Amino acid sequence: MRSPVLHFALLGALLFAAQTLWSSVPLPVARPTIVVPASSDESATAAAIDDEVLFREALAREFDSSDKVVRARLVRVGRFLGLGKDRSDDAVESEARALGLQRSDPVIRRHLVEMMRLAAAKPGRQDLPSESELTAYYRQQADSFAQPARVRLTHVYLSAERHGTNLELDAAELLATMRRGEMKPAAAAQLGDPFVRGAELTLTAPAQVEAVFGAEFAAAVGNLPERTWSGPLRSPYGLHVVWIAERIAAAPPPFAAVRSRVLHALLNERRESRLQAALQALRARYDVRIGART
Amino acid sequence: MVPRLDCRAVFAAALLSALIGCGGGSDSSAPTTQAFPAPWQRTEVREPCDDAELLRQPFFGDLHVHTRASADAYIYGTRVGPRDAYAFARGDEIAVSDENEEPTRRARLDRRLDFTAVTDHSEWFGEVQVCTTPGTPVYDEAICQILRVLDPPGEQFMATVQWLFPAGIANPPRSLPFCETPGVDCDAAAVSVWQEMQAAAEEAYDRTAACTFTSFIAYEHTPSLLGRHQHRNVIFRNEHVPPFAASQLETASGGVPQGLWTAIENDCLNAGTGCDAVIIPHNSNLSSGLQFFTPKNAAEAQRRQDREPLVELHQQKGNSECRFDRLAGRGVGTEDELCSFEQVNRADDTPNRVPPPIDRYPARNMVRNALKDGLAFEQTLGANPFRFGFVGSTDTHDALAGNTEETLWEGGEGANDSTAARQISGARDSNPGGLAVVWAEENSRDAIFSALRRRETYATSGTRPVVRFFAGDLTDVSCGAADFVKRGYQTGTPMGGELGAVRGDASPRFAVLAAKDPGTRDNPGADLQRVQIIKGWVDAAGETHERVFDVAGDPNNGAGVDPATCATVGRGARELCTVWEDPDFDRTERAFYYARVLENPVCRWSTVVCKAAGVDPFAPDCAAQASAAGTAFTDCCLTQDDEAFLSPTVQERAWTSPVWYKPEAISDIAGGVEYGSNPGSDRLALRVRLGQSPIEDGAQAFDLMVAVNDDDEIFRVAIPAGTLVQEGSTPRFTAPATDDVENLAIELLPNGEALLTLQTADLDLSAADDVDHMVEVAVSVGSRRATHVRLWQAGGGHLRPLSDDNDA
Repeated sequence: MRSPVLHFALLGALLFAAQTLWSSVPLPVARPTIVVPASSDESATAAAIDDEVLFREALAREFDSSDKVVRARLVRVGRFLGLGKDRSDDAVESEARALGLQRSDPVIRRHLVEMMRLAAAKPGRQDLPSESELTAYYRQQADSFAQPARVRLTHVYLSAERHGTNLELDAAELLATMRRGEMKPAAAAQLGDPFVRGAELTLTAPAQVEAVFGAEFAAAVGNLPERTWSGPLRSPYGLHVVWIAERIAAAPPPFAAVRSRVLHALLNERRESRLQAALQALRARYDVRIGART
Repeated sequence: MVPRLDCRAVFAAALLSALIGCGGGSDSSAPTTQAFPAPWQRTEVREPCDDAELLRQPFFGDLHVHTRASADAYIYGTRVGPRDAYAFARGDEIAVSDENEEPTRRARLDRRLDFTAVTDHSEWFGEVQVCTTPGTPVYDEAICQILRVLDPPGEQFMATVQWLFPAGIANPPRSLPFCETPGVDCDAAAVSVWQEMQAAAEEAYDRTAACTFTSFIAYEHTPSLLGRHQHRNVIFRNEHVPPFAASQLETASGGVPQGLWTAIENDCLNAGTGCDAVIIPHNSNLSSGLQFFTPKNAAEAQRRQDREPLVELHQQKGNSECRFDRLAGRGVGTEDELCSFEQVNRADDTPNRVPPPIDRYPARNMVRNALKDGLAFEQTLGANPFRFGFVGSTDTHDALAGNTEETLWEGGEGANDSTAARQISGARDSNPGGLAVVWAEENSRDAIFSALRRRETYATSGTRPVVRFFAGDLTDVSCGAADFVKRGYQTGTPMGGELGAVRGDASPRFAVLAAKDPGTRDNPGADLQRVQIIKGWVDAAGETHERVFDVAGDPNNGAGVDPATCATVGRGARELCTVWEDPDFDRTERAFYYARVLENPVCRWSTVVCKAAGVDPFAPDCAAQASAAGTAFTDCCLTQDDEAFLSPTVQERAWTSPVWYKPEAISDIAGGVEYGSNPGSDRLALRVRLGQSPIEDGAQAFDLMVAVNDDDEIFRVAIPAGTLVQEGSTPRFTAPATDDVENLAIELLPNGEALLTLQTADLDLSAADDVDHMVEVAVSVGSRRATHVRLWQAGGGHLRPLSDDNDA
């Protein structure tokens, strides 16, 4: 009884008999187990689990059989191991496969994991959103595409450099004159000093108002009444008598103007959720055990 | 003509505001979107900006930003990508690597930027991707590992050399050797990185009418022959970009930079895809004179002028305006003592090279010298190769676009300068870098790109002063007048343009209006100290000269810093304004003029960092403090007597693009468009005064071209060579009448000038919008080109430039 072949045959026969005997009893379907090393870093553990299930899936899909990176690596490692000095690449590759190098080589493993990750995340034709899905997503995520609140204002500028110590008095006098005369913005701008960025700010966001006139001015603009001369407000340059012509509340922009950004965002989201769904399904096939800390 | 899209969007914006019921009042609910044609075509699908301004606004940006897609940045430990760089520019917080190359630091910009270009080194897009993607066949190879592993700063240099060497040799391999490994496709990886960069730019770009942010697709082309930088950033106008980012490894055989020009011409400008690009050389201070080499001929000079309208004057690796050695008491072609500002000692990046003494320092490492030589070349060749406008940028390798606040700077080279000790011991001559400022109608790609192309830009050393600069006859432009800017555009050219003898023998006028950086709540901007105008010129003998004029403000205003606290002491000006004339003006000498605006001194970043480490550069016992703080801080105590360019305080500054005075250029244009009462009955009449006769320029040997453009071509005529006929023995030449042109004549004037008159037949000139807007008149003969851009005025059935002749 020294022949191993005979041993296997006998064992097989025994198992067959046993299964036949218990055929009325369903066999417990043992799920395959994967063991990952324990780590104090939860995310490292989770990543190790993901890598393992992706690797197994890649092998199950036989990614390794035709991939040129895997094949090149098998030939290289095979030749290093002396699997066939004068033989063809194909022969060395199949010898290396017979040794199971495609399952044990860490480079091949990482490569297959990445290939599988890309495959799992790859958007399919059905992921390409329809226009109605795009607009729905746009409405749902309106906040992330929203345009800031904006203001349109005209200011009559009194330069601190030009007016010196008379600055406040001149500003008060100017404001009184303008209010008395019910002066319209276009005409009033001519009364001031030249401001390097002009007398009118057209539909400008608060951050931009601050960038132009400084923080104190920007904060004050928020509280001014519309369509009347107010101020004077102080900026790093001097004083400004201000007319708020219009305010626009923060609002979603027209869909057409952000369609491309919406599409990118939705596709990125779908790519990620596709990957997560695939990983979840894969993980569910295994019993995961956390091994000893490495 | 205003593009239709604009009209639709005006309608859309009006509709929108009506829908959401803003405005409140019925009489003003329609936004006053300016219905003026900007001098550029819209080449992309987007909403026009609600806040477009005919007289333009300054937008602040950074056109030089590296992320992990750059091999050197990855080696330094940077792990954030293009998306993060744009997010940072827009005001979001992002991660920055620490000295362990771990992303433990956080950064947020105190003021968001208006525009940004991520410019990763195209040379190793694919290689970096391959080496940082687990599972590639070469992932474990040493060359990949040195990219990823944590090195002490000293050894990072070796890693950088091993990676970047192909850009430093004359005949580089197409890629790093490992790209030949079976199963490795560096080209495919490079394309995927390039596409990723495009996607990141697209996601960051605000195409809505709010126009809050503009991204540009861009990259850096990085030849460094033997460590001499000839680096250039390529900035694309819109999303139509070449399929590959042509790197030095592909273009080297075509020459530097001609190989890049050819690649951009073939794959972009002439590709018929709607692609457009400008190329911005930078770091000429590290080129050992190579960046601005002598042009072979006029064609090459003109080609450089067309491809490279701008230069990056200031960035983290130093300033490239001009150089003055304080210890030697001499400069490189200059006596301007303010040129010791933020100089790096070395003249190139060749390892272990001793910095050259000031007398052997390569002159054209400095842009001002190149500009002067450009005038001389124009004199002898007929074309100016170095007609550069100015931008600043950061060159951050941490993806921290626009992170230029002096007192908050924590380095820009990843782990290399991630701590105070490393900043002082290893990167003391670095600085936070500069900003690019453009005067554009709106914050969109087309508007900003066009400003870059026409050089209506200025550079800053990182702060945000606002600077207007006009040159021309500037009739009635005065500092106190509310219409200063409008008159400036009507009667002069803004920064970046050119002018002829607009006032005959008298000097043109130069108007500067500068306002201080308003700063932020926590970091108020510094007051202005003074405005200077820097003139460079070439004389009849071909010698170049320069002179610096103080034109506004007070160099002795007494302002400074409190050495104990770094708080500013004393006052400067919130604004400075002047209209200036050149006392030395000679109408026969070609020249350039640019404005330099100096702020009051503030503590340099290194002073702030040293003080925070307990070492006060101002303190008498600085050395003792340094020995307590550690050897890394020894250099905190260097004084101005130890080092030629060192200073514990700096004067932040802005440099406007120059205006070029060309004796042969256009000095005045009268006439204009007269709109007919019926379609097809418009007429154009022009009287163009030129400094030099096109006949002498060779109009009998070359076609003479006259073109009038706004966003569209309004009118264009080409007079074939040899068809101008002299009227008897008079100095008057006429072209035969055609269907379009009733009359075109050139008259030589006794003073050497020429008068070109043009009268069209009845035509359809409806392309010329009947509103005030910028109009360009271009006259060219062969390679000689003269342009005249002014704000033309509409009214009374005319569209005309302001001109004494028109008033008469």
